[in-house]
Amino acid sequence: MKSCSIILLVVSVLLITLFSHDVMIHSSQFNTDCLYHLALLDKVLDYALTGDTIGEVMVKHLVNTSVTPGLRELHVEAYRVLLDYYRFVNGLESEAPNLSLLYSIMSRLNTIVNYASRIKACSHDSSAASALAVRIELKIKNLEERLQRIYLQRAELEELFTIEPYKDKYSPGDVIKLVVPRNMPIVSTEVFVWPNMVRIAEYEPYVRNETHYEISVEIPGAHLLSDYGVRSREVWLALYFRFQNNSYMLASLLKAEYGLPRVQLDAPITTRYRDNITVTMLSDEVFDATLYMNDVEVLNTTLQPGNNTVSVNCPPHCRIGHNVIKLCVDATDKTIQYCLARPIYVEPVYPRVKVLSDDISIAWLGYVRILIVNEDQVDVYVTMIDYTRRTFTVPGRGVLSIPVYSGILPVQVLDLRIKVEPLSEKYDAFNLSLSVYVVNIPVLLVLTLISIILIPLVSEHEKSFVVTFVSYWRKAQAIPRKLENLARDALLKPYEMGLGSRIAMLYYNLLKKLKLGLPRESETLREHYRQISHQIPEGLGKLLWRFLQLVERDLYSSKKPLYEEAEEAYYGVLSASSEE
Amino acid sequence: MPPPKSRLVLLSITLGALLGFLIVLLLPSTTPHNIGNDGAYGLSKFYFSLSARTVYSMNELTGLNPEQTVLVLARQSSLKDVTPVREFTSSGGVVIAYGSPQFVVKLLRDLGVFLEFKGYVLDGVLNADSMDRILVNTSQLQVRTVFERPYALSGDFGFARVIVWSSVFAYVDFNGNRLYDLNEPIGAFPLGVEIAIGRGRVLVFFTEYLLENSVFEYNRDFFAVLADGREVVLDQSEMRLQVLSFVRTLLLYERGAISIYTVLFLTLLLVVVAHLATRE
Repeated sequence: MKSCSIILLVVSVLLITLFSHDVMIHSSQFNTDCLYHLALLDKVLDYALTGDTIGEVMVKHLVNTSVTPGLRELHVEAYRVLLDYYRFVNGLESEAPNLSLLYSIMSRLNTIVNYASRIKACSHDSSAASALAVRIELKIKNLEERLQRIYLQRAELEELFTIEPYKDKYSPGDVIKLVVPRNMPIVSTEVFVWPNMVRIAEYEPYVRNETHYEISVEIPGAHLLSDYGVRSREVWLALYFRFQNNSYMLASLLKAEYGLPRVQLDAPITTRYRDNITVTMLSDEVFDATLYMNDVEVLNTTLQPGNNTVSVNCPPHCRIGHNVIKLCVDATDKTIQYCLARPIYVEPVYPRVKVLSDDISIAWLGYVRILIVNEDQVDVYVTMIDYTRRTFTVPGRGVLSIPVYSGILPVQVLDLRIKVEPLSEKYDAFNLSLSVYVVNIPVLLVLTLISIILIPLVSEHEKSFVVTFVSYWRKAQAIPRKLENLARDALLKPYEMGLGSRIAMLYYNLLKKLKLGLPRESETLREHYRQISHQIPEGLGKLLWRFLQLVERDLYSSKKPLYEEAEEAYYGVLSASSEE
Repeated sequence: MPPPKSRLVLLSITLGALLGFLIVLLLPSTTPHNIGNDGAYGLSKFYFSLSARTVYSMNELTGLNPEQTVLVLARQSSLKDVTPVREFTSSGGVVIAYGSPQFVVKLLRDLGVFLEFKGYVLDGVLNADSMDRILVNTSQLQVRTVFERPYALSGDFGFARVIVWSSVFAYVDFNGNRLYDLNEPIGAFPLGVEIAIGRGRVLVFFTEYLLENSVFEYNRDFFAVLADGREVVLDQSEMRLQVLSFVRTLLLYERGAISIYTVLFLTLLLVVVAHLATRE
């Protein structure tokens, strides 16, 4: 019962260990922390203030995101306000902005503050949550101020000026006309990149007719924006009226779209060190471009339509291993600055030097010879990378035989490492390695000789040594079963083989059955009998003594007893033993 | 009469060997990326539904036709030598690689892109029921894709073209506490790159699980677009490091000669047991 319980316990522990890995994998559950939602709200407000359209995408997702049930309503309401805000901002591009929507947003901005305050309470890091909540509150105020300003401005400007032509997107070079009533004291119209508010141009009004001014604004080229660090394909441009009192008023937000230059860069994937790299640049227009290798300028060029091929020296511009070649095309009026890169793997150039040796070398005098074969024209230095550090010169198209110490073991593996240094700058140094199995014949001969001398000396005494050892050992402690069996087989074999006494074998068999042990190799049968006689009853002892005498007669006397007589004695001892 | 001791020992060893085989065959595998693992992180669904072929050594790549093959490298441990992969790709092969950060970082480094592991990416908004099973944006492939246990790498992407991004709601969990902390960045992080090598390309995704059972159904279409009708070859060389998984995979999931050897071996064992049990 006890053993069954132990087995059950072991099996249970084993199974738990085996399956626990899976359990652990599946039991991990995650809860979205409130601080995360607070941080998202903060980020969305950042985008709302900078006018980044990614904010609108985020708000659309967030309004449908599941949150803690208690916060659900407030969460949805807060993000609906922001959704409306983006609806309004998008409406700024239209000719008739929705002022009632703007008013509605402003009146509901407090919902966002309330939401921030509620989710602050369930954040795991309360100090971080408090700091974020304060930041969010400031951003809401900032947003409110902006909306108020827009509200006032739009209310004043509504139906006061027009934009011709009005489009969703403008291309570089497009000219837009702002038609403004003459009673507006406008000094100029300034163009800013929005929301960075980088001022890029200014246009003055001129009289269109008796009642209106006209201001022509040209959408700037990409190269101009590039000068101001603006490199995106879509850019918002804010047009501001500047009045005589130096105050500004947002007139409109326009989206300008720029293209990418159509260029391709082709270079070999792999090349050899010191080879020139042929770089092909395919272009459909004239572009100013710069070629870099590993971020270091290699070439400043003007790309012509079609294939432009240049050759880049390697070195100094490249290195052995991975390299990156990059082509950067400068911005033009229509296209923005654009870079594209390709990897190039530069392989080293080695002279054709190889080391030759037999897989198994025979050393007669403690050395093996290896051959260094130089198949190239250039001479090379060869250095053995071992304790000797020996150097040799192998001439071009030459062969050098080098002796290498083969060690003192009869058979061993020599790991050879050889440094090859070409005497020409056209090639790179490298290491060769080779493993050679070495057979040391002299050592083998000496060992064989020693063995030949030792083996007969040892073999003469081997048996007696083993016998002595085993018997002493057995006295000291119980001989392992296996060893005992081996010793017995080895020692009794002569009896069986040499003497061939069936009656003796029967006697041994009887001793085995009676569990009295067999005579030791150093014991005579009588000595053995004396050892065991005190362990058995007297009657049995006498019968066994008679059997022993039969055995001795069979072994040593010329008058051999009959086998049947021995069998009779055998069964007599057995029956006496069972009676006892 | 009880059997002699030597026979008992032999019988026990034989029975032990049989029992060992049974355990190997019956116990479920939990080794990630193993075709014999039916659990969340195994590749059994992928392997069976796409009738994928397996390789157990990178040297086997030389026997494939790269232009007709897509090789999937899903691993926990790093590749010792990337040369076979490079040669396979140069000849027109497509390689899809993902797995543990150490594997991906080392692979990218061997391909010449030096990036560092920053932390696991979690997404509390666009996910598939769990913050670490996130929906990702694939720039050109307009198919739904879910990454499980994705991670962010930073550094110079150089010539590697980013093809997968996390959503803007994702953040990098620097300290691994699975909660958002104020110093952890929120935004779209690169989660996959394409590296053109010769006539082929290597697509490396920064995620631990992409085609495993837990996310396979989500990503079936994504993989179909990437594979583009090529024969699917799955690298299982990593399983050699885990003896139990390797043996089970060979026994239960490999078609061909190995299964025959297994049956022969088991039959031989049974014969030995029967002989020992019936001998007088």
